[in-house]
Amino acid sequence: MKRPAPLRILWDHHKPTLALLALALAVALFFAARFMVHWVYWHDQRSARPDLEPWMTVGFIAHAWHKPPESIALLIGDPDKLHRKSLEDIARDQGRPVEDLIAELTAALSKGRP
Amino acid sequence: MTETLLELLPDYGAPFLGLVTLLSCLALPVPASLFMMAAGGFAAAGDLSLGLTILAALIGAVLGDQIGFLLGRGGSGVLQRLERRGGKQALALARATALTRERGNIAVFLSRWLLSPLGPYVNYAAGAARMRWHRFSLASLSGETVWVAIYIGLGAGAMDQFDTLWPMISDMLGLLAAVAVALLLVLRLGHLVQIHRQAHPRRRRADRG
Repeated sequence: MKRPAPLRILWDHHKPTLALLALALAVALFFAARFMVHWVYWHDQRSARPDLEPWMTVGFIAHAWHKPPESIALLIGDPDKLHRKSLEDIARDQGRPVEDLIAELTAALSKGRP
Repeated sequence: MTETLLELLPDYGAPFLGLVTLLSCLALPVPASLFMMAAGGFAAAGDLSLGLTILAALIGAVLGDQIGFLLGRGGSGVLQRLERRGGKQALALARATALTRERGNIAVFLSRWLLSPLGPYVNYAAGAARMRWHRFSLASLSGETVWVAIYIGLGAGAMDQFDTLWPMISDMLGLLAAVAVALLLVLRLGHLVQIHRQAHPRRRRADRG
């Protein structure tokens, strides 16, 4: 008198559901591992300011870098014309690639840091 | 693509954010949580109005839920026909839709923010299972409010760590959703074992000989 083990029953009769469970667990493991990698990276980068991206506006950068917006705007042009414009738009107005503008601004910003 | 969309955010502002949250509720691959964080950042920087940003994101999300719910409702006739066909499968389906009608509001609420990758599918399922509209709407509104508040608040408060924080959040959301699905499957498998044992009571030694 031996009851078949639960896994045995499921393996014999419900393989698709069991496979789905294995898949869900694999996905969970993947995200857990990635989370830990990102966590370590975050600890490394905590004191650093975020990298500049083409979609950021002058106001966004000023706020994230804890600087007055005018001081950022002055580094790359006329403050009155830069309100609510992304770096991409500003670079297009100035007729140069956005990478140029980002490199210049990053250099200027890091010079001012302790 | 995300970067291009983010560049449009300061130009088109709150309505654009509302459109993104609406589309995300229909399982379209737009990074709505990321967008709300960026919008929170723009609001804190003074490029967007905070009140309008929150309102637009909430309206978009609730509208998206309603559309998903109605789409699901459109398919509920098929489910009802299947339930009426009789047999074991039909009975199981009827039990599942009844459970959704009674307890679905918890699933709707949690899948708005804590298990957000599952959200759109819960909308369709709730509609297809003929969940009561006001129960669904109440759970949707309260859940979306939590969702919008968390991400716009996070964007406004921690924008200087924006680029390192976002990957961890998206990993955590993926992990939670996968664990929730795994738990549901474990419950289902446990149930299947029980059914199997009821259908096949213990075999006696004599049977084998």
